[in-house]
Amino acid sequence: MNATNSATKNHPIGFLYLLPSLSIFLVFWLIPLVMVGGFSFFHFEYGLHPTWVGVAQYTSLFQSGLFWQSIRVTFTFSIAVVLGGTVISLLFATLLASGLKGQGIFRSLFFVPYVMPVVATSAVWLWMYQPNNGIIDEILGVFGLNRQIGWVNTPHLALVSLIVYTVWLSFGFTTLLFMAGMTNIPKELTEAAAVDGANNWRAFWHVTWPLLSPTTFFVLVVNLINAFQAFTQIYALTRGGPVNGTTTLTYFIYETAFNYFHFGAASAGAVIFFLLIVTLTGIQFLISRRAVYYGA
Amino acid sequence: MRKTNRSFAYGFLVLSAIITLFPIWWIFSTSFETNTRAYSFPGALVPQFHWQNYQTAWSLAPWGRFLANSVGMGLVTTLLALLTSLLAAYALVFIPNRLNKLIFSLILATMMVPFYSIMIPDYLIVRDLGWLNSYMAQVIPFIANGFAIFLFVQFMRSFPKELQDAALMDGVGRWGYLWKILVPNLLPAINTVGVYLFLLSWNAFLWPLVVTNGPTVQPIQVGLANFLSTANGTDWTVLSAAAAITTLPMLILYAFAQRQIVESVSRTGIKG
Amino acid sequence: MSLRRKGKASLTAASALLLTLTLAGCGSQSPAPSNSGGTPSTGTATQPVTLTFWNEMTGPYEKALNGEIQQFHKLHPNITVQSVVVPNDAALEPKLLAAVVGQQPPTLSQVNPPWATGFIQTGSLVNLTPLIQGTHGFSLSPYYANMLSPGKWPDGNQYLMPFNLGAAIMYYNKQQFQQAGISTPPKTWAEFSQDASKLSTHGRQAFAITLVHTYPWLAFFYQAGGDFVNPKGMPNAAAFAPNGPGVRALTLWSDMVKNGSAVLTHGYASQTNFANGTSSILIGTTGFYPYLQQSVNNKFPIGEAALPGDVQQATSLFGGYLGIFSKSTPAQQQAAFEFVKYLTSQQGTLYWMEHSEGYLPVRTDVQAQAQSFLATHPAQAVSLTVLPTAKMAPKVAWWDEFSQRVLMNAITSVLINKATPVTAMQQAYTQAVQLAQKDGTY
Repeated sequence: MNATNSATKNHPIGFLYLLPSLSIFLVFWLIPLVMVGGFSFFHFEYGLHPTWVGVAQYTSLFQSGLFWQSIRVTFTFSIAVVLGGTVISLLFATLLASGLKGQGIFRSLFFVPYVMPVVATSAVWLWMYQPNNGIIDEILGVFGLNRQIGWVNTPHLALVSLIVYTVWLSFGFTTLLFMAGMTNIPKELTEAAAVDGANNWRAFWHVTWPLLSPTTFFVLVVNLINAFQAFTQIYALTRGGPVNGTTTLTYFIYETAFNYFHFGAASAGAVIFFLLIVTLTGIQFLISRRAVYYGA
Repeated sequence: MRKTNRSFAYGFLVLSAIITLFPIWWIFSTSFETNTRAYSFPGALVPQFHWQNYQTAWSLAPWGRFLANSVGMGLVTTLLALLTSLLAAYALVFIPNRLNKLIFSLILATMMVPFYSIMIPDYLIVRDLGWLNSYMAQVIPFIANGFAIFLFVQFMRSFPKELQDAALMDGVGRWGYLWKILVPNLLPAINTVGVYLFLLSWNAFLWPLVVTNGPTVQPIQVGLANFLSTANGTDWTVLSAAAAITTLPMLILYAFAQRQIVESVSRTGIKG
Repeated sequence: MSLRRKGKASLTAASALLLTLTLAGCGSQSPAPSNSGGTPSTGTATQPVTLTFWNEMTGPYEKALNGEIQQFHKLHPNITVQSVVVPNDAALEPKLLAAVVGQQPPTLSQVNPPWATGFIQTGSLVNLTPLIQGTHGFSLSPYYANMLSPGKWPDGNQYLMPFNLGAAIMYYNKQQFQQAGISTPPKTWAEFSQDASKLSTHGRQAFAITLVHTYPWLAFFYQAGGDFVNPKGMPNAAAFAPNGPGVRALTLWSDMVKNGSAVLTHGYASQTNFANGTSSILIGTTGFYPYLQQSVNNKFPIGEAALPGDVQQATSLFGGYLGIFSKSTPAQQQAAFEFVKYLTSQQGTLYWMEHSEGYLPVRTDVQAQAQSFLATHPAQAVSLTVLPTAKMAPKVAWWDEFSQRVLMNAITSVLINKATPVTAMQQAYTQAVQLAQKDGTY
């Protein structure tokens, strides 16, 4: 009909469709977030007796070395999980979608870690990471290598081990997402590229990759969310240690609120986290508007 | 693909699968172990089929109740969240509004906040609603999901807008267009999101633990956590048996959902 | 329509926020609201009462606790105890915090003394002293003084009663000790490190350090005569000094790690190391015993001994206490008090020791009745002999964060060679002072 007209007009009927989701977000996410914002200006004694302290919670957070370290750890952890998780799942999705027989079996197998309870699998990984008789060091020993590596014993190595575990946990799911995205790409296009004499790599780079960009964007966001929400594995594998080497902002907030009962400080941390996310989401959307191809 | 490439690809996939599945194999094989051999290398690599652990684990907790709670709450949460997310995504993509972008970003940003940080206010709200120690507290806050909306928006955006205009002209209406044309074409995405949502609900732990007080309404993760550690140590074999008990239903469900996904992809073959 | 609905919702939100703050504010004006009137009337209430009891008695302990509850129900048919089990501190803490903020706490809960300090300040916990001294009270004299005192605050009131406690002892592999020509377990620090290096070979460290909590290290710290808290409740500078007990205890462990006779493990992996013979010495509570016995399964005889001594013989106590929350009705508080009384009575204590397979009696007058049990349960027997020298961690409000964050980091960074014992203790002192200023003392 009149496409230009319908694109600019506001249709209030849309709110009716949005209403169920929005009311839940409002009551269980947005209002609590506003409340947390309010709490962050108070000092609480074990959750009670609020006294107004202004921005004192924020200033003491900014002065705390652990807070800044937790932001650094969050960035390192998130970037590694997002990049590692995305590259690995793209690799597997490309391999599996290239028409190999039995791709369904592999896809199912890779998905299994995602359905296992995190509490159980992180316990096993902790076991594998032990120095000496942990399985990884045992295998290194078989090859005559150093088998005294405590994979969760030093801050940097523990962070790497945590990243490996997190990617292991979720790459099956993101592979599935990529594969779903790849089935959306018309076969004619890749075939046409092949006819034109493009090799696999060029076909992938010029046809599949641009058409896959909405999926890639989604996988990036899913991985980012996985990284930001990571908690159970940190608790089970390292408890934020050694020497705070794996204390992410999420874990820092959790520990501050629930292990040490500093409810106001934890609220301030949550507010900062939220502002950080809003900024990141904004940047991401600016980038995605340029780089993501949504078709005609 | 050339033959050498193909065998290389297979070799790589098989190796990756072995590495990926090793920890899980270990959980299952440990669940059949006697304590003496558990977690010793290569002790537990080949299981002994010592069923005792399962009997012990089974007798220690009302697993049937935990399972029923988890499956029930998972299904209800998933179905409702799929419904609300499809509606929301439809509005965001197909019903133009100046606020759409803002709403979408806000939903997404809010969902990235770790739930722990808003757990106390949520507890207060749930208390005021009178939902403490109920299924409601564990289901209702999660029947809207930013990621689900996000994914549906991504998929719906690849639908030509003209298709809707044509459908509206034919008198199908927005509602009819959503259910008769969009949804059947989105089945692969719906299945994927469904699995994601179910797992999210299935793996929920801290929130159910905080708002519930007993196995009548508690999910299986809370039951399982009680096996994980005591103040003095862990019985690995019984824990592994409990983990196996809790995972099996998921594996079966996934095997089923997997076929659905594959079938719907091959049936519809949606184009971008 | 949608807009109107939205407006209403945000109004509810605003009022919810206000309501919360007012409610929380109310608490500050009237601490201990329902118990301020003194002792709840009588213990012989005939009305049926239900009390909720939050605890961490998972796995084998849940069975033992349910046994206790059944016994108690027989004695008090009008009282129903509803046990809510959560896996550990990490789960109980958020659950308790949310419940206290939301004014929905349980009647009775397992509480660690450092949390109780905060709960007492906000009037959330019931003062047990009037109840103990009341007509349905009991005598405190049979209880072990070092178990009782962490539940007593400087105002002289008892807020917590000891319940599930163990003492740190040394488990050793008797067979490996014999093979290495060691006839008796080490009695001093020097013997301890000598024996450990005799038992170690390249790539196999005899002492597997468990650091899930700081208590095993604290035992050595106490042996060196240390105390992190001064009489005012502030950090005790002498404990952190370069020639002080903290540095001494850190040096002992880090030297052992450096010369290959000790290794840092994670979680409870040290138990498995011990069971499969990878390590020969394990330091843990009384409660390790059933797990070790199960996994060692007679492959070798397990030895139990007191920890070695330094300037004094000492060990650490580890475990939980019981506290009653003031939000519950007087009848519930009375019922909870009856239950606490039962759990810590001779009958309850004896049952708990014999069935929990890992916890110690909290009173001195049951040991004589448990001779046959102790003869077959050496871990408890050894723990009972070291009990007089055992110390519970301090209960100042800054302790938890100090112990789990600061002290744990100090120990770990020394053991992984990122800091020297002296610098680690110096930093720990600065942080401890900051924490004490932020969190207060008692």
